[in-house]
Amino acid sequence: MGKVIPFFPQAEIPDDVGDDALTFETFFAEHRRALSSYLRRRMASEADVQDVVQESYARILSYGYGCSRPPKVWKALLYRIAINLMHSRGRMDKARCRADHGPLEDYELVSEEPCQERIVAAQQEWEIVRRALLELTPKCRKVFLLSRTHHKTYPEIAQICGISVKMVEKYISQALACLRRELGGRP
Amino acid sequence: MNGVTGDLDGITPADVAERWYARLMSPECTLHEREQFEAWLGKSPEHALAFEETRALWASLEGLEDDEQIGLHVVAALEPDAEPCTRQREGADRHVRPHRRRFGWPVGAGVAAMLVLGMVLVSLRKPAVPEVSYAASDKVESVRLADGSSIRLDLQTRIEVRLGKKRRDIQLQQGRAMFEVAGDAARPFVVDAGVGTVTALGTKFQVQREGERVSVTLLEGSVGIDAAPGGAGVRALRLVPGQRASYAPGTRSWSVEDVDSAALTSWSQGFLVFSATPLRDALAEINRYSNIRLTLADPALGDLRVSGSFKLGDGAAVSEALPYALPVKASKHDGTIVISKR
Repeated sequence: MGKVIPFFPQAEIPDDVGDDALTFETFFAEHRRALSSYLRRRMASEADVQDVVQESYARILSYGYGCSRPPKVWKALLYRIAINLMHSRGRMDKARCRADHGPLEDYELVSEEPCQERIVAAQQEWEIVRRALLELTPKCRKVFLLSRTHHKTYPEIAQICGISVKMVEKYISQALACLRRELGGRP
Repeated sequence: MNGVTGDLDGITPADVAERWYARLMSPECTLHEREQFEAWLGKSPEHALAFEETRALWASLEGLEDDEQIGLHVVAALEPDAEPCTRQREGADRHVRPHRRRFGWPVGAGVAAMLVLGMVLVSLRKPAVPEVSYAASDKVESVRLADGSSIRLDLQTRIEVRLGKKRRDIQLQQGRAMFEVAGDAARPFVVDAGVGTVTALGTKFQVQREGERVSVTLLEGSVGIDAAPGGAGVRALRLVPGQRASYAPGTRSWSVEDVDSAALTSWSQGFLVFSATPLRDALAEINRYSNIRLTLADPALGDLRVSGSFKLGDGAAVSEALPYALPVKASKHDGTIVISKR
């Protein structure tokens, strides 16, 4: 069975930011606790939670945190980075959400079982993904699946589909845009 | 120049992020474009957010092949396009029947047992991605990986490679290696050097490791370095070309400096490049690769400074070149070449 990773978790993120510019210290102080407890609900160990928190802030700094943009944007980025890190570590809470995580080979094979409370949302999301993929043009879908599920390189895909490498690239970004629009209901 | 950054009306950061995501996976993506991408990414948090969202979207689409409807398309995708996908598509559409929901059943002990059994079967059916070791002992070796990446291994270097579906994992156990990574945004290329990991998408960099002394030199593209847990200082660094990050075991911290990255990695091109290097150090480097040993008649000569580029492995040629650059002469004694004052 596939992994169902909720893609747009924004609804669950506390909405507590104004538009005033903040120094990094203030920004850090303001969100650290909320972010930690957000992650704690989804990850097994406190050490992992703190790891992800630290790394998320380090990345925010490397993206050049500054006051020229509203904190809302930085906060959205902070959570997105943290969620991506959490997923890429594959360390969602064992008891609530998924099977054990072991060394890499296990991590690659064992599926993540989402916790009951998020199953419904994930299912709905999966329905949307399925619908969006079925609505793509056959060629676009084929290119996308060859890349995403078969891990084919662009030249390999180009050969299978009888199109140019540049067109493969176009189809990939097209498919991503369709999926994003369907999932997020965004422009 | 590609169309990625075209700032036309109505193009949102998400659109641009998706184009970049697709572009970065292309073998046609140039170094210049990667620099443009980095510039775009760092320009505003909206851009970074859009790219991270795209990355998340891609990652969330794991396991499409297990979906009842999409799975058919996944299988059909492998067929060459003489016969278009439409036939398969009709087949798939006919399959629209009340399907079992993916996670619809009640989670009980029985189901949990089935899941465990299922996972065991999966692990039995699909063996773990094999780990392959490569080593160079007394000469520089080249390794070409299945993903198109290439690695040059310096003397006394050992690595282990595992090309997984989601990550390309390299363990540098010892020595110095130059990595030229084939772009694959979906599968980060991660070099583990013990005290930290280096993550790259498509780029060219060198990692050197002697026990806990580790340094990372970037030639092209961009890499991120994540310190191993437990170290002091920053946890994550990002290098730009021409920078070197070094780990100091004493302070257990990483620092970054600007270096002549071409000179530092010249060994991988078959050359040694020196720039006002003490002759003592230069000879030590030359001797590592040379078939014939060069020695100094007088240790004081070791303070002379030498500049230039020398072909790897050819000690005799070096000894012939040195008298032109320095006040020395070279003579052969018992299978070694002695450098003495002229």
